Amino acid sequence: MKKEIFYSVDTPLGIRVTDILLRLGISASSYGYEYLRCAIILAYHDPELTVYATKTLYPTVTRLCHAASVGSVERNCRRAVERAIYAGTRTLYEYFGNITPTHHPTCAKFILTIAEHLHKQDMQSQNE
Amino acid sequence: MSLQTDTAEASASYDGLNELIDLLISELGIPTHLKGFKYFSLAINIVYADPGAIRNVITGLYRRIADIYSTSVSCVERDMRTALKMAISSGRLTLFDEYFVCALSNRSVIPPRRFIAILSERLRCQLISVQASNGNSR
Repeated sequence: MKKEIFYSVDTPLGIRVTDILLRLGISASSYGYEYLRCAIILAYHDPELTVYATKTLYPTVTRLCHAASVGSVERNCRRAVERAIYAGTRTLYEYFGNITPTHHPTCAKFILTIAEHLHKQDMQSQNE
Repeated sequence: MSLQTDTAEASASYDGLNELIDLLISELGIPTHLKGFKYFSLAINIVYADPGAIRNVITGLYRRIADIYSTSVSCVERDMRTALKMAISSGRLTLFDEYFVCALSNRSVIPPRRFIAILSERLRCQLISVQASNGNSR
């Protein structure tokens, strides 16, 4: 039951995350895309997961997405983020996070940035 | 389960899914008379119904398409690649840029696999949001 809630693309949250990832230029055919989507939805519900990402967040993603290992989740996410940032969507990432990255962001930081952006959007829509 | 029933189920889930896919691909600039057009249409249909099909394209997706059109896997892949190349060289690049952000950064050819994956994801996003807005309006 829980798995279906988190992993499903059909929820409004899933659509928003998918839209952001595609606009950032993360290729939909890569493994990292699936894992990032799952991780961002998890981090949206519980931001504390990203504090010890290796011990809490990645094992959960591994279980939910049927990935091979925790290491492969981290590697695929990192490669996807790297490729997207170097391909020239840096300005969009700056818009999401309100920061100027000097190097490409770490995987956990990327996930937290997008999750915070989603929270910020929620606050704005509530105020309106 | 054969492929025909798969695609029939996929198109049954949304009225006119095939027409929508054809419209989308032709708007991106892929010439409709090429074989690659038909292959793309079928491939996006399959991946839309089953997202896991994008994982092993050579032995899974292209093999199924090749069986249906009675050709070989390499022919399917080559026709798709040629169609995509023509679209990039002569199509509407503004629409391409909107859909494939990272893919066209150096104006090169993108792999057909990435094209299929991104389009099916976009399509799923749009259709679900359209269905949600219809449900709210009622």
